[in-house]
Amino acid sequence: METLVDSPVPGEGERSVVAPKKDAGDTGAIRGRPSILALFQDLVAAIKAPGFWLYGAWIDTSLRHRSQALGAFWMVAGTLAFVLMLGTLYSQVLLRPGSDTKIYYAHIAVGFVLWIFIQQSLQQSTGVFNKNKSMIQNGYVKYVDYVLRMFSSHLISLAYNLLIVVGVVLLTPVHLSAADLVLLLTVPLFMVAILGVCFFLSVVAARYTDIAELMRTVLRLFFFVTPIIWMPTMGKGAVVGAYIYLNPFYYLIEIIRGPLVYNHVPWLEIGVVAGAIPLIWLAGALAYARAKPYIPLWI
Amino acid sequence: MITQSLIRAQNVHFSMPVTTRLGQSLRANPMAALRRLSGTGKTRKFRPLIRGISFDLRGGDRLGLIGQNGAGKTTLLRLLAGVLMPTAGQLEVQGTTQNLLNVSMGMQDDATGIENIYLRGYSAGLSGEEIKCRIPEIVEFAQLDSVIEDPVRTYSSGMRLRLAFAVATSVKPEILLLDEWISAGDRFFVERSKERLLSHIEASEILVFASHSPQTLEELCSRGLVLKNGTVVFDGDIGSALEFYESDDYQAIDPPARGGNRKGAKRAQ
Repeated sequence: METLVDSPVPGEGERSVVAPKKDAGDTGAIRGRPSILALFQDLVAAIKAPGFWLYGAWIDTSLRHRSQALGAFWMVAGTLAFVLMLGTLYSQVLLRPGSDTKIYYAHIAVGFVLWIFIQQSLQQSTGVFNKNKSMIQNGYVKYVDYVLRMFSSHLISLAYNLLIVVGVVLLTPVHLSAADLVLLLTVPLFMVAILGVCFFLSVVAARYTDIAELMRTVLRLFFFVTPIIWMPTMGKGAVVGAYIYLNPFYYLIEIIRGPLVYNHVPWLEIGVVAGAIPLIWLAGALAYARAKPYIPLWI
Repeated sequence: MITQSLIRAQNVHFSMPVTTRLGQSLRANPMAALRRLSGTGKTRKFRPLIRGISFDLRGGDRLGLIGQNGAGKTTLLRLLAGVLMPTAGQLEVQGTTQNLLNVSMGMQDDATGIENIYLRGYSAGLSGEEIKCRIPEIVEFAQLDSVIEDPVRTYSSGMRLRLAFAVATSVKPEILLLDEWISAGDRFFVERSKERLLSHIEASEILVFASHSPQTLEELCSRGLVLKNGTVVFDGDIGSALEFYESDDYQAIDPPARGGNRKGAKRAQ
């Protein structure tokens, strides 16, 4: 008889599932609860066999724009219109006369492109298992794959939107400097942090359906609370300045926008994000390990 | 090393936590919601769906699951597929598995037939190259040459079924789990798929098949498991199993009624 497997990896493909022996009768609790490492084990497995989620991400992107005349152009068009219109309007409304409006375009472009990515990935991770219900019920229970698929399809959109960021760098007085080297560190930090939150949200929202609505509200609110269309230096700087550090999204955006637009290395913000990542992933791993056997029952 | 595919179930139980969303709503049941919030209301209810099923399958076994609606056929298949985990007992499954358990079979409606072949192929653990080799054969068997580039949402349910079946069986799984898949197919397809299944089931392969069609069961399966209310009430060769199912004995037999809720015991840790 085989020994107990801590984290059975059921599903299609090669496998061997061993549920633990009956002890005190059927209590309804699912036995053989995955270990806390389940998330990381599954993640490694998913990265070793990326076929499904990579192809799925590509299909999702392709399907979204397949029947449209302008196709993938829409991914960029919406963002471009937003940046141009709001940039023009708010540079008049918010900036003091005589200030540099061009840097404001760069500020809003980078901030907004990143924000779309954050908002879309977090929002969609709350419904990701429900969306793939029929595949899960049919036996494909590599839950990490579904999250990675959703995340990578937003990465593709982000890549398209980077065209705007490149355009901004070329057209505005933003110049590349040594500070941009820190992007090599901060961009991965940004991604890892968001992916961790996605895992956490995907599991928690599968159990508590209210989370999806909550996130919708929170994200809508934080679009205005986060310095995307405004700058921390505007208005009564000191008052805003203190509260801004309570906003998690501020750190995420600042670690990329700071070096890219302002040639300024925000060490404090980088440190906060780096410190938060282990906590985020710990929460994600705990939730995942706890929830994994129950996900098919919840959706 | 020859890996022998096998399924071994020993006294498998499965209970489903009863989470009616209505009962969770603050408006419908404010007191319960408060108790939950305060953490004192730890009474979870469970509905047993499978109560102590045991059987052994080895390579070459073709098992037919027979039983009325709600007898636990689909739940048992989901347990075997690894979607659900048993709540008690021991379940051991060894071998590559392919499942056709629900009607949509996890297809992406807007994607084309070819893209769905890729998706399903990848999810079965194939590489892009392997899928590519199999496409002509899959399309030919599914008889979808003219529409394979069309979105799957334009397919009839029979066409979807053919496509899903062709993909699932092209991988030559060691264990094939089928749930009522035959119902949407016309008789020509049923004939061809039977042939294909029988040719596939060699010494090393296991088929578990739930159906209400006695004729198909008789032709495909060698062994029959008759279920009622989550327990096995008959286990034997398929002919006598079907006979038992159709006889008065099946109606007369009375395992404990389904839905006897019980308060959740302390979680075994």
